[in-house]
Amino acid sequence: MATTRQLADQPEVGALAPTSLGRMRLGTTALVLPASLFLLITFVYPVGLLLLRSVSFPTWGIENYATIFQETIYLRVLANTVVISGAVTLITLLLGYPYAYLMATGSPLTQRAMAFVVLVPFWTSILVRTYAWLVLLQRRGLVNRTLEWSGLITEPLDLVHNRIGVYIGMTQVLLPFMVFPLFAVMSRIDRSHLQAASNLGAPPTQVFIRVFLPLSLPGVIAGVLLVFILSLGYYITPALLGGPRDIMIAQLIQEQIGEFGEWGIGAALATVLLIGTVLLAALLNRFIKLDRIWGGQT
Amino acid sequence: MSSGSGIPAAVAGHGDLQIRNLRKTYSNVIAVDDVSLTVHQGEFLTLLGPSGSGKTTTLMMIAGFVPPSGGTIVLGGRSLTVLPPHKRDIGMVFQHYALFPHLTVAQNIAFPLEMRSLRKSEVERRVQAALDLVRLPDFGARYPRELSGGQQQRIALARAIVFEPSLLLMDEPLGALDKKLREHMQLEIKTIHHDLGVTVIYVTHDQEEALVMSDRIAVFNHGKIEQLGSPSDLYDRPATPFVADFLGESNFIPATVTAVEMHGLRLRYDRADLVANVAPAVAVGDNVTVTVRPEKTLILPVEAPGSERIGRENWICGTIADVVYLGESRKYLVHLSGGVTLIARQQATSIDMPMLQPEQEVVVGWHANDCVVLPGQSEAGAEVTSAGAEAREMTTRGVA
Ligand SMILES: Nc1ncnc2c1ncn2[C@@H]1O[C@H](COP(=O)(O)OP(=O)(O)O)[C@@H](O)[C@H]1O
Ligand SMILES: [Mg+2]
Repeated sequence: MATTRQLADQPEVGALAPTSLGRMRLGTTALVLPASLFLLITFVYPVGLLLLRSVSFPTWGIENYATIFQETIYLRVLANTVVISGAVTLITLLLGYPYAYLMATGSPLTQRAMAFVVLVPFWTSILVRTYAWLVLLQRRGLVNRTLEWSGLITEPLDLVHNRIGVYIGMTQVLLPFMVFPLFAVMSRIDRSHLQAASNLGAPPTQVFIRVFLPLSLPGVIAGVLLVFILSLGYYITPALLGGPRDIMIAQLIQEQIGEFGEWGIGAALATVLLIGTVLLAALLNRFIKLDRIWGGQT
Repeated sequence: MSSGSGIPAAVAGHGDLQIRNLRKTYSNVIAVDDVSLTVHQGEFLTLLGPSGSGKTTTLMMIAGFVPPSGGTIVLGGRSLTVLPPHKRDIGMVFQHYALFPHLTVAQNIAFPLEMRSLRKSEVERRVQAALDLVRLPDFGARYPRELSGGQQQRIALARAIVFEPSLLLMDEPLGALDKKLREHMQLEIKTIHHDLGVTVIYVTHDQEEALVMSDRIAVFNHGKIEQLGSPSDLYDRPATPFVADFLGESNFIPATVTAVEMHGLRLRYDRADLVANVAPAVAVGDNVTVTVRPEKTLILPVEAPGSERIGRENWICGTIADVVYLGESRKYLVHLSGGVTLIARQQATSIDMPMLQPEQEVVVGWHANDCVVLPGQSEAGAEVTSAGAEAREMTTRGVA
């Protein structure tokens, strides 16, 4: 993005542009062609079909969308999806930020150990992990027994088949997607900026608030975006660890299409999910001026 | 230089910076080795030395970012060693400026003032005064990345002095600028130093920069101060072969002391008798090194009339090995019969001045006042010559 700005600032470069840009465009086209074709076949085509079905099944019209936005059951699921995704994003941010901070400021050995710990869950399938949580969190599970044994509680807690279970399960799965963007940005923060702040009279808390935190914002935005968008489409974890009140949109889509054959409603829900996701990414990108913050990083 | 500047001409009530036996060792390196140094209030002192000689480490210990392994640092009677960096009240210009990229120029300069809880109106006034001082009065609203290297340098300087520290540290602040801009900024920094009366400790590996800017120079080598003195002290009276070679070019002639007299020495190199108007602590029979600057020598064809030799006591015969044309001067490499190669530099005072040719037999002469005698023999000198050449080469390549 800095390059485009430079180009715009310099008329002499602009004068050169037509030929060199033209040549570049040709080369770029050749390079992105295979990937574009792949996306066209595996993404654009099925998504197009889906869009079509949402307005054509069972009859032409927008009645599927009307249904979604009028009946409480659908509205509640939409609200659930946003609330759960938002909460999971917040929890992963609160846990991930200090974790990434320690990782970025630690020795190389600390960094490797901490990265390993975050990555371990990736080595097992999401289904296995979710069932493991089920075993751990149930009323007679390890967590409840340990708490009872230690005397902290007398009655077992309901940790699963409710919102808490969904939060625990999703947080664990999504934490790495928060930690790694944060870590990537934090480890690039120039130490001399922190030293300069300190030299200019800032005590450690002020160094953090006035310099480290703002410089780490691109990582926060990237992590929040990534986790929130991934959360929106979550299916297995809420299905297994949540209760009947914790249904998210992906479950509803599967239910409508898989169980009731309601292709129209299902497709309309999927379209809403897709549009919501795209709008979100675009909005965040626009409001937070990513290029400004990222431009300042180098 | 600016009207109504909010920065007073001198910060009174603070005294000298005293560094005593300062040391820093890393697991296997001694970065700073027993450095003692007093910097006077208002002085411009330069730490000069090749890359890796411990300049930055010394500066970082003064600023508080590197804990010393031993020794004390006292500023104005107050021990700094126990103070965290944010309480030291020392201004610093970092090597790559370290301007906050997410803050505007004005916010950058306001930062130290806000940390000191100054009133908003006072902050604004001082920020503007600092911007005026570095002659960028209208740049407050820009972001650092919208500035050229030289402008960033000035803003970093403005930010480092806006809170009126009594001591200003600068670590190779001009290293990233091109030659022309660097020379311009050298003058500007000197002007600001003069106007503010702030004590400056300036780090550079560029000997020319050090000579131009400093009141005194501390020459660093392997973590130690090799020599401390004014630019002319160091240039005209180097205490060690390293200093003689690091500051400018020098010739090293191994010689033996034949007589110690009241005002100087008599020496012998090969078949030549030499005199030097210096009296270092040496005895007859000692092996020493005579150093003389190339520009202090006169080179003549061997057949030149004796009248031309008048005024210079020392003459050595040799053969020209190479001639380098340098525009305003000519540089001759002269092989002496004893195996040493001398460099002689002659100003081209007139276009008609005849150029001596390779293979020509010549005599090279210099005044007894213009040479320095250093204890120790030539191997040291030869070794230092290559080390110095390496350092200079790095200087020109701009390696920090
Ligand atoms: N953090 C560190 N760990 C290990 N060695 C270091 C460290 N910092 C500096 N050194 C070593 O100390 C010596 C002096 O370094 P420095 O003060 O940066 O030199 P200069 O600024 O003169 O180039 C060098 O040999 C360098 O490798
Ligand atoms: Mg350095």
